[in-house]
Amino acid sequence: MFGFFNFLIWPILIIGVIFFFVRFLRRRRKAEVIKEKDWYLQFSLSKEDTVSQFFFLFSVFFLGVTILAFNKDLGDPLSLRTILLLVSVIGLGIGYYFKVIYTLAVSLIGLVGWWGAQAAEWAQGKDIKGAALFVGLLFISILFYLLSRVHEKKVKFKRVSIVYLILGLIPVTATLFLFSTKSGLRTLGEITKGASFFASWEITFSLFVFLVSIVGILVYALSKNLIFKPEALVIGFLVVLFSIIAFLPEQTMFLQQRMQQWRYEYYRDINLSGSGILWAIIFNILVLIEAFGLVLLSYFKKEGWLNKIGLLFVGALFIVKFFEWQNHWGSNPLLISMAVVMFLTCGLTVYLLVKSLRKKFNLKIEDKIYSVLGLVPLTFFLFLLSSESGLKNFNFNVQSLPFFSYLLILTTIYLLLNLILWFYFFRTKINLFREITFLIAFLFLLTLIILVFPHKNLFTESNELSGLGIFWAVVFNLMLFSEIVGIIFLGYFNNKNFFINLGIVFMSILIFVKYFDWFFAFLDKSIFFIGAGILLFVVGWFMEKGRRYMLSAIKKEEISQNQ
Amino acid sequence: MEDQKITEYIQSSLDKGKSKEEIYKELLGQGLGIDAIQDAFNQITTKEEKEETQKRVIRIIVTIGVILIGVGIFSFIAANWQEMTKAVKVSIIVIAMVASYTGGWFLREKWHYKKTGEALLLLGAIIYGAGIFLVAQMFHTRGNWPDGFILWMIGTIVMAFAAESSSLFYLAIPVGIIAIVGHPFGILTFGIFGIFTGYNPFLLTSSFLLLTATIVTFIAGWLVKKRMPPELKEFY
Repeated sequence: MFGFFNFLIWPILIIGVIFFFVRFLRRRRKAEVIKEKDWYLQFSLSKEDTVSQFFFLFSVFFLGVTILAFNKDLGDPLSLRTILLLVSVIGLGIGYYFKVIYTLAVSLIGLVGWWGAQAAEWAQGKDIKGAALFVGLLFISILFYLLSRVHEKKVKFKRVSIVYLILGLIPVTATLFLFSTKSGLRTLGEITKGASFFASWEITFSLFVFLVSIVGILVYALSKNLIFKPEALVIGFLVVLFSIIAFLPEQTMFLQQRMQQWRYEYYRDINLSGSGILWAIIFNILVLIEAFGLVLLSYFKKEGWLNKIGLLFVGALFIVKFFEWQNHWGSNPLLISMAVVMFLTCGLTVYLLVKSLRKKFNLKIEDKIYSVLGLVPLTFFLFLLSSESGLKNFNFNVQSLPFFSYLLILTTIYLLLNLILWFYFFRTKINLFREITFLIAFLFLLTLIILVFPHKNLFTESNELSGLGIFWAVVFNLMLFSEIVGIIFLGYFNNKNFFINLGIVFMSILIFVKYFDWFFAFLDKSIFFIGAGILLFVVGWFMEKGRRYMLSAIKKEEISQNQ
Repeated sequence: MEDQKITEYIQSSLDKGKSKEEIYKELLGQGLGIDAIQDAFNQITTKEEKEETQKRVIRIIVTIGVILIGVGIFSFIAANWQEMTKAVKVSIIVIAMVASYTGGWFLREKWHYKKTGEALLLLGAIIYGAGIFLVAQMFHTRGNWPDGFILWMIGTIVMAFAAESSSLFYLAIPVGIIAIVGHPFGILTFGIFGIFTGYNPFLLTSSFLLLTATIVTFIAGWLVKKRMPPELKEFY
């Protein structure tokens, strides 16, 4: 099954990259850009903007390579770090003077890289703990975030502000995400080993300068009302927390030590120590506050893109937790697929909820999104369950699952969100009520079956289905069949052609999958393929006939309703 | 007001630079319903989309055509390359390039086949790039391979300014990226290699060429930025 995903991932990635570049290079009308509220989020405002940004960036890169080349010709009088600093400072000047954001972003990254490399050089031979360097980089990120707030009021610096915001937000968020996991806590434990940063006056001075700058800009931003007070409070808290980390004595995060093994299963049966639990609680709460805080901030600032970033971080949080808790399930493809289905449907529910609360409901679009995001993964999951390999993965002891599992949390969130949506749709009589009920019913039933009902010993010793195995095979095949028929009927009763077409596609896949499943082993190969060909014709004919019949029935009904 | 008249009114208002909101307000003031106004807007959008699609199809077709012609010519030349004399080889490259540029310019400027002309100009720049490497190979020129890409990029930028062709600017971008990525590898890896062997193939000419590339790209960026539409200047 994962081979299938691997097979798909590259074409999807390539198509995605091409799509991105086509959109990126698409010629936009100038008037359009000016009217757009979020114009400063565009990578390119016009074709002239794109080209000049690239050329300025190239000139900085070429300058770096030129200095590198002459440096080599002259016998390396300058170190690589000095060249990086020189080019980054020049790039920063060009970026600011011409307001070219690509150059500015690259130069800022270059400056951060220079400080990191220089600090590593200063720490060399003194066994200074890595935490000091790490905290220095985090301080720089916070500085960037604050600088973004200082820049954002002037129209000319709006895009510059976005560059600072992204460069500030991403490292801090990534750190919080990392330290909220077991592997991140291990890293935190590792970087607290070693001597205090006071052993190097250069690092001490750098950290002091960063800290003073943060406090200075924070006070300035507050005095000019450039930043919200709760936002400043969170930033202040983060600075204090990071400062504590820089001073932290060596931390033992786990009760057991297993130094050699770096594989993912490393953490499966290792428990956190007291300090490990404390840090885990702190970072998990912080990451939640940060993600949801951004969503809240977007409402105060009335900026939709900030809302999207916040929701993206919430989604990323679920994915990070998914990967972390995945090893509790012994990498069972069934549980992983179930989690993916639940994750997608949770996202879908949030989407429908947000849209319906904002009263921005376009049934034609929502119907399709609902079918693709909700019904397609569910159907394929049922396909997996009704197959032999699916049943083999289903053959595990329910009691071995941890009580506080990812799936359980997702299912609870899903059901709670859906209850609100369900109630809202029921009251406003929006035409998605039946579909929502349909999806909830199936997912709830599946969650019960997978997480509660017993399903061990589905196969005999000779690898054949046992009595219980046959029972579940029949149940899942019936569930799949009824789900597909249900989709067709949903379309029929609600006059939605898209659902009818989707159901017919699923039905034909079902016929083919079962044909392969049951007959491939028994028939001569040529007869099998001839049979498959004839089946294709028959399925095509029935599909066409069935579709026409359904559509004409819907049209007749519409006409009679209009009369 | 009839549907046709509403559509015409909206179209002329949009051409005058009025915003959607203003047009809505005006038409609502004249007693029209929201649905009727929306329908008229949709009609205009559909018409524009149709035209845009047609244009895109033409652009795709001619670009694919150009690529196919290019591939065909290159494969023909490659098949007969060994048998040709140096003079014939150079002539083929120069003639193909000049013919492409001339044809492209005439098609675009004189006969107003904008897309086809642009595509031919692009082909000319590609032939120019291929020519750099073929000539270097023919005369066994000693040099660092990314230098070829720098020369290609500089030539393309100059041609882009001369012909005022945005597709040539776009071509210069990936070519420049290859040069930028290629050179440091050469400088750093051969540096390490040179410590052990005492042999350093990196040439001083590359350093001057890199300096030229720095100056050319900076000036190009500056000049292109100056051409920015005046409406967008408030953002800079």
